[in-house]
Amino acid sequence: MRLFAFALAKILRFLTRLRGGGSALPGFFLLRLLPHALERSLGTLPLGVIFVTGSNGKSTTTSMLTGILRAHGLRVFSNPAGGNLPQGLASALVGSATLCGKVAADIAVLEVDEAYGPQISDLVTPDWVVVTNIQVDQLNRFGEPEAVYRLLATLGMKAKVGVVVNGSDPNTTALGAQLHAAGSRVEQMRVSAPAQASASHGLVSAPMFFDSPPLLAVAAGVVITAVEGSHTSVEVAGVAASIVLPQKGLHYAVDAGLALEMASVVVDNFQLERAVMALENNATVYGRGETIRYRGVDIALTMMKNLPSLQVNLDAFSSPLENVFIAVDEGTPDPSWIFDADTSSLASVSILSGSKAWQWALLLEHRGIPYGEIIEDSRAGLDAFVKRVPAQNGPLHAIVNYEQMMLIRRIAGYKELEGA
Amino acid sequence: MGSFTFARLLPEMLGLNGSSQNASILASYLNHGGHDVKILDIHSSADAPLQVDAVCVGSGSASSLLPAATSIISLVSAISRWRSAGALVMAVGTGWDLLGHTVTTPEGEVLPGAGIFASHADHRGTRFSGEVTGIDHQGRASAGYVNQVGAIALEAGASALMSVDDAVSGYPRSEGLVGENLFATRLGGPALALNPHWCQDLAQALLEPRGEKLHRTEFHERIDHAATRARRLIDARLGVVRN
Repeated sequence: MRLFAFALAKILRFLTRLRGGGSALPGFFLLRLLPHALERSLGTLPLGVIFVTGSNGKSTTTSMLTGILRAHGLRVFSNPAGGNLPQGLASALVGSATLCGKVAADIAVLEVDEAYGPQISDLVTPDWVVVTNIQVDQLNRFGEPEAVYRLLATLGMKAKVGVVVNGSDPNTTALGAQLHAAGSRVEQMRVSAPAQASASHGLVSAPMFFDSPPLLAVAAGVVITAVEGSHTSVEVAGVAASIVLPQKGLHYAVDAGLALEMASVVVDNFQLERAVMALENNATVYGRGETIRYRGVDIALTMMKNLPSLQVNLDAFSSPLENVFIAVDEGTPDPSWIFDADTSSLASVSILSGSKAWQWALLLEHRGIPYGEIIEDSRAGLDAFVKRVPAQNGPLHAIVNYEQMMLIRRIAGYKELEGA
Repeated sequence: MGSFTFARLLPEMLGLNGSSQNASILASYLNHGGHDVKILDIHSSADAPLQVDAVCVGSGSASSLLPAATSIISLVSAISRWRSAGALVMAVGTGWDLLGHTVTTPEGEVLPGAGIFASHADHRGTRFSGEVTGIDHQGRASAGYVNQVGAIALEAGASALMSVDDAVSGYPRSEGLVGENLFATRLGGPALALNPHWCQDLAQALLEPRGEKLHRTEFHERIDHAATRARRLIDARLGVVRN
């Protein structure tokens, strides 16, 4: 049955990739035929399974952690960015496993959707869970940040060894304190006050109200001491290091800090120099600060999944952006949060696109930010954008939601998809 | 041209998902009509000025309910004073719940509200999250996004803000509350941005006692147009066809 299931799933994967891009379909079929496939294949890896979850930064932290572990000579199984639901994880397994379901890896690092974390932990039990943050995210889906906290607490309790948290996010600190009090091993990464002050809006944690201030009585293994643009200073077990990350901004530094914290705990012969090199050479994850080329024009994609991701990205720009392309569609069911954003980094918008473009127009009107045309169709909007916006130093800028990011990449001829 | 002072209550607790930005939107609406508006964020009774022209309060999440309820109670005398002097009160979601008569928590505890709105909120029900569309109390197309838990009941004699189209399943037909200088809705986020006709009503309520009128500009025409287009797309997503 095992051989049959993997063979069928691999054929399906081959067929779906013929049309370009990837699909979660092979993973869906694999889990239907072999519900324990993930546990059987990954549960026996010598260094175990790490889940990376939280509101934002999952993909980048997963990518950074994977890079650090590989730099230490470890063979790492991981899922592509965004393929963080059960079928996405199983699809990644279909791509990497032999027909017998064996994976040539020492450790698995899995990006896991925060809502599906408890369910995925039933499919493969994590040894470690890394929680990046709890921010205001997808309220249409979660209702409120407290629901995410409860899901992550449930997942954290399932970790066989322990949990790594961002000890400067009061919500994940409270989560760590709760798990620590319940007997779990908890490790934390912290961000110094000056480093937090490097971004106008700090860590943008969700406003949650606890009966008493959360206190996590665990020493921080990694401390981010300073952030300036892409330059990040850290201390790992008291040893200082400087890193030039591929991307600017406090949020990337936090992702790097969490990756360092987890790697330093799980790798026996952890070497900071190797880790720093891996972080400096880490490839940008899809759409997160990625620059694509369309009709001969370079366009830097900035993703706005939610208020915190929009805000930290806007905060990371050193000067106000002009002639920006903004596209939002139904992938953001309720864009109300845009009205909470500090848009002082937006000097002007060239084209508004997508089915929620008019709601963005209302924000820009009330903020007095000039904008050009509204073209609901994304392809037509993108064409107008590259034709009309004059050349400038560096790439043009597009601020898009996840679905528009994927669509624009496809329009620009970038065929590979997340979750493949 | 006059100037106005708005009190925005507890924005750190009751400002989720753009809901406290309704104060800024109304301010912007008045600004473009030539009126100055100062928004004061009120965190405790110590911040409360003697008089304001409008009180604005947004929505919050579950863990904000108890601390916000406590803080609202400490502000009741200030709110009552402002109301007695004719201040307009505009509330969204949890803020409306807490300015009503009672709020029943998910655990069944009944918390006293500020008693400004003739309503009773009950957080024990399920959550509704989705776009809604309908016709308001003056027959105007209105729409927005609701993401609220439980239900809110109006007392006899209280008037609803809008009637929700029955194409939307699972949401009560009656939404919001309007009264003399009172405006409340469960439409989350910046409901006034999507429905500038409500800005017009509120601006008029502020200006009329002073014998003034809003001077409409191109800005008002543009936001009317953008909001109409945005609402039509909501209608289309919900399968509602309006004449």
